[in-house]
Amino acid sequence: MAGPLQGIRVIEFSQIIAGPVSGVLLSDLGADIIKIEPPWGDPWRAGIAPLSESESKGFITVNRGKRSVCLDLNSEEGQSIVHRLVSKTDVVTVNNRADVLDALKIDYETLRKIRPDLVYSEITAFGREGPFAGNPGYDLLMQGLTGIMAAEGNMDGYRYGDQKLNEGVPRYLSVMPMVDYATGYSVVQSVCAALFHRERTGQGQKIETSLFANALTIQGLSLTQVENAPSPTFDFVQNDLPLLREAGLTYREIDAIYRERRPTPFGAFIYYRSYQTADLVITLGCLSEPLRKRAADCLGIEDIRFDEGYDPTTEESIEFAFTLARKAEAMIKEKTAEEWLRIFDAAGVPAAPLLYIEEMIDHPQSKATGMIIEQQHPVGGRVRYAGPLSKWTETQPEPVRISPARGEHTREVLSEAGYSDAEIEAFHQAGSAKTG
Amino acid sequence: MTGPLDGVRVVEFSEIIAGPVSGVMLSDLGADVIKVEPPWGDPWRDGGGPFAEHESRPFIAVNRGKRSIQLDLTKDGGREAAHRLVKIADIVITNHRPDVPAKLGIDYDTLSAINPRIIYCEASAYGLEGPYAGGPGYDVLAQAFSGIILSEGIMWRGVPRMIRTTPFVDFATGYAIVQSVCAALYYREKSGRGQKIGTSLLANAMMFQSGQLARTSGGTTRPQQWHDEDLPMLQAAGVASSEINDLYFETRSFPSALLIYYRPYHTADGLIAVACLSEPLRKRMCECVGFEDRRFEPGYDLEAPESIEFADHLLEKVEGLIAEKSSEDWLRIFHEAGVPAMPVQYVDGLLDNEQAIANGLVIEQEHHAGGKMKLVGPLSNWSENTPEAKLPSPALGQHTAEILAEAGYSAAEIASLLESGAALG
Repeated sequence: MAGPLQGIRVIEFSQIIAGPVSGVLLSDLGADIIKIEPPWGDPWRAGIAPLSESESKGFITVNRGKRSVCLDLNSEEGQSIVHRLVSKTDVVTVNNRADVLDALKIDYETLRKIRPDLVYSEITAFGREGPFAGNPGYDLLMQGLTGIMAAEGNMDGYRYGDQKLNEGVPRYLSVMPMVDYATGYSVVQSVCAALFHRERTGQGQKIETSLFANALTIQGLSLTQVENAPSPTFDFVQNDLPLLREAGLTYREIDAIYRERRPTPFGAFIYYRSYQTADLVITLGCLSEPLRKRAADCLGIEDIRFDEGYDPTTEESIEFAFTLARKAEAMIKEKTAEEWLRIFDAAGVPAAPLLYIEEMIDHPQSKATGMIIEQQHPVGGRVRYAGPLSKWTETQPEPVRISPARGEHTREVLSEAGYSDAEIEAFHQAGSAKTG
Repeated sequence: MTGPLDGVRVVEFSEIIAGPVSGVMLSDLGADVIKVEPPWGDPWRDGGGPFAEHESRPFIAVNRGKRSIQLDLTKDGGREAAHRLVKIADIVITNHRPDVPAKLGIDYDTLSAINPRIIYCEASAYGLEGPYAGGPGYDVLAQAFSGIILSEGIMWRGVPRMIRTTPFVDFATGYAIVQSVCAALYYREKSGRGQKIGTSLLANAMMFQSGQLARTSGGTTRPQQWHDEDLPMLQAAGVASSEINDLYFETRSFPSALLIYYRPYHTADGLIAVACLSEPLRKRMCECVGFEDRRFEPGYDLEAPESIEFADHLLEKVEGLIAEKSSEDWLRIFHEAGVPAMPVQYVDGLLDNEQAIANGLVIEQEHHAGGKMKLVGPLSNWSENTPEAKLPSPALGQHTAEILAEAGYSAAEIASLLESGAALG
């Protein structure tokens, strides 16, 4: 049994993270992914945690499940090879600038002539319209531009031994490039919806999404709230901010004012946060009133804010919230993490231990779900990462291939496309296709 | 032109954020999304503080595009109505605790007996196996459990806090549901077969952290060693979590190159971010700012103590240079040289942002309680099918009678269901 996309072939021209993530997910769903790399390889081969000149753990992570074909698309011969491959392909994914797509002859208009029912998925940074249309896009820039960095507002800087760097400017979220991943996910949903449509109508098409669109989408909750103009923060950004900047205030000073204007979410300071217990840290996740009441019962605290008609915005209310938060903090410090987790679990209060990623990767829960897969990479040795996202009763996806070396499958894929050994050798000599 | 999922009917038995997010996206793609709510409504209707009865802005954000039917699934009539809906549906989405669907009669075995072609997608918290299989799932717990909170290491009131900007594990899971059901629709179109698909908050928290996980590959790495040997001792000795946090960060590799080329900077008048992830881009940035970085030389040892000292000095120098000109000047200089750079902004101006509007990312809807509201629109543009934001977020039970009629109930039957409280609205 193979995944739901068994028999679907995808050609991936995308590089770095967002596009390649979609290739991993599509391969997990059973598609055959051919990654076309330029002679110098995907630049992300030299990404985070390098292993050799052309391999890094950062790259391996977002390129498992694929075959690599190395072609020089600046050569006519390289272009003709791509066009032959596209004639037998269902899906193409790109994340290049528009002028580059044209120059390399991998734009939608060119490819649809070769394969009229092609599903063509394009990631841009900012969309094809607007003042930033041609600008480059990276996760960090999206975090900065769309308010993620400012809302997070972490200005502690980076610690390294006694050193502290980058203090006073907001740090970006460095655990994961969340905008890149969201965009990769969205490509997969578009491609699958488009394949469904093609199956029903015979029609292919081009779909465009952007890092910017996905940065906005994952902030949907904040955006609904800021739109409530004239809200204090909205007013601040529109009116005060330009003046404060002109007056030369530092970012830290401005941030303090911004944060004063942001409303304190009701209940959030007690019921949805992390706590220090007598030994370890735990988190509590109560988003509805019944759950909050149960948590209050477990803690033995009286929260008058549940009373009908309570006004959470008065000065006394805020004072009350802080007093109660301190009380809850003190209560939770009295017992160990294990005791609290048992108490909360018995009462049906959502709570979890706070783990390091190194603990989680070996945790029985991670193993039981089959989400940790382990593969041997020829350069990197043992690598572990997240496996397929979903379990299917009919078409269970399975991860197959380790991340390929540059051009590892040039020979194999070209011979599947009908090229003879002699032709492939000639391409290699001419530099239009590199066989590894 | 309609969306690619035109004619597809989705029954959403899901609450709070992850499941509902998938319903919004499916509706944008053209599906008819029916949200089945319990008599008391989706608890998230009060999320973040309601502005009217059963209506809050965070709820509206993740429920536009849907119709609401209010059923009491603990009553025979309500359950029967849900089953008749599933009979005319293509997709069912649930995100309850694993034992709840069977109690409500909306588990896969029951529903696939009623409609064998049904595609049933279940989002759980931690998956259906393992010691936490029955556990409750919320974004903050998934962040805690999966290492996200401790990797980010942001301290608040003496403890590490969650990433608070967005419940992105919930959103990731919503995306994953959409891609799964679309792939399953494609498969059903070819094979005629429906199926059950399960995904979880944990699965998506891990997928988003795949890069970190690949670096956590056991045995030889310093963080792994620290975790296996130092951490148990520190915890047993009762060392404060903030101190453990500092020690943890010392074991993690020092991203010295990234600290210059991939980060936000203070300019003379504001903040900008630069993002150079490849060497050619980094070299261009050196030229623009006017400094030399000898670490590009082949064979340079980044780990040597003098290299780290060099990195510190260089960093201070670059910060000084960038502080000399205004954001506007720098953005122009970087843009001309092809160095990726952008201003750092607040979220509060985004729905009025020219770039967002130009690309159709901002929609305006008339909400029955909230009036005119701006929201984020569909996230993709299609050349043949046009995804479209249709309905505003529904009032609780707004479409109960309408949907029951579509499921084949007569007016008299609907009246009696409403009378008995099996259906409400």
